[in-house]
Amino acid sequence: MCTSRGSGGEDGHVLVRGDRDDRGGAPAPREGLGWVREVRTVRLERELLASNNRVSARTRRLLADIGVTMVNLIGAPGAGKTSLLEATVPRLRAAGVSFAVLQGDQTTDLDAKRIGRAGVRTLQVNTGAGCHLDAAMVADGLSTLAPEPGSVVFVENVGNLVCPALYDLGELARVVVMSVTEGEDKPLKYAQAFRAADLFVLTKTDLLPYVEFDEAACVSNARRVNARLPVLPLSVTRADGLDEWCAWVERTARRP
Amino acid sequence: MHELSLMDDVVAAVARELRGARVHVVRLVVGLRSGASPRALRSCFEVCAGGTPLEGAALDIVETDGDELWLEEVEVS
Ligand SMILES: Nc1nc2c(ncn2[C@@H]2O[C@H](COP(=O)(O)OP(=O)(O)OP(=O)(O)O)[C@@H](O)[C@H]2O)c(=O)[nH]1
Ligand SMILES: [Mg+2]
Repeated sequence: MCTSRGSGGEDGHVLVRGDRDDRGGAPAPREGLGWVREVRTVRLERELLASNNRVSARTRRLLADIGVTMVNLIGAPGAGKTSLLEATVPRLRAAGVSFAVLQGDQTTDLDAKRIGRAGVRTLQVNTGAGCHLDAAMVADGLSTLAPEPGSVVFVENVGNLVCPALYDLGELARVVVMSVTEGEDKPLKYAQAFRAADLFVLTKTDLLPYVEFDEAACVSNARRVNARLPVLPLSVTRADGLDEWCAWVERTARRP
Repeated sequence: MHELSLMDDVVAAVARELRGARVHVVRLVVGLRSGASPRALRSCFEVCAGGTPLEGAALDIVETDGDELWLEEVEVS
């Protein structure tokens, strides 16, 4: 971190700036200004997201206590997050995994209805003008959703590759969802989203024949920002890679 | 606009910790790769500071090429 700037006190907490006289005494009032209140520099050195992160840390502890696995899905609008969850429903159900979905959306409940139709407990969290879910919204949502002990909760974040990446929600794992139509440079352009991810789901691989997309370059771009990021290519429409995806979810849920 | 909620938090934190002091400068460190835009933070500051003890204070953003997103220090009297 940065060291002190501007003044140079030694105590590391409260630094005093002001015009000192030559004998090193108290700050002397400046000529013509009359009495000048002493300006102090107070170092705070804290994350801007400190209040969000306090809430998310609490959520993480509470979920761990009841063995709930929360997975935060982040991706651009239309990347295929809801479609992936819809396809996940029957598979996880067949595997005996119980789960619920928290849908973050700006104003509509369209995605929640889609997932609800698939027969899964869903809660819509509208962020209004907000471009992301934050830890407090999710904590509120979880208290309404009241997930069963041992279950999995998927959070579908607001479609956006920028803002959601900054906000820890208290999840156990974070998944970045990107489709092949978005271009192989996106992991570099939206590095924050990829850097904080535990899995990269590359969707819509059925469209590869129709787009110019260099999959190897995409993976290597992703690894430049997150060296050990696992990549899972899949197609919801062709049902390719869905078993691997469900296996990842089950493995993550079993993680101590 | 996540910058708005970030700035709200900054103002609330400074007002809470430095109750009674007059705040002249709020200094942040914002990295190029932090995901927050200094420009957007600047435009949110005035809105968030209005009507609080930070009204009229200056916002100084130290830009780096890292991923810091820090409330570094404040100048108060
Ligand atoms: N070809 C193809 N299309 C897909 C696939 N997955 C999703 N889509 C289509 O992509 C479009 C967007 O999918 P959604 O699941 O709504 O995307 P989303 O990420 O939930 O979108 P937002 O919630 O609005 O951010 C829909 O028309 C889907 O049918 C896929 O694997 N292949
Ligand atoms: Mg969706």
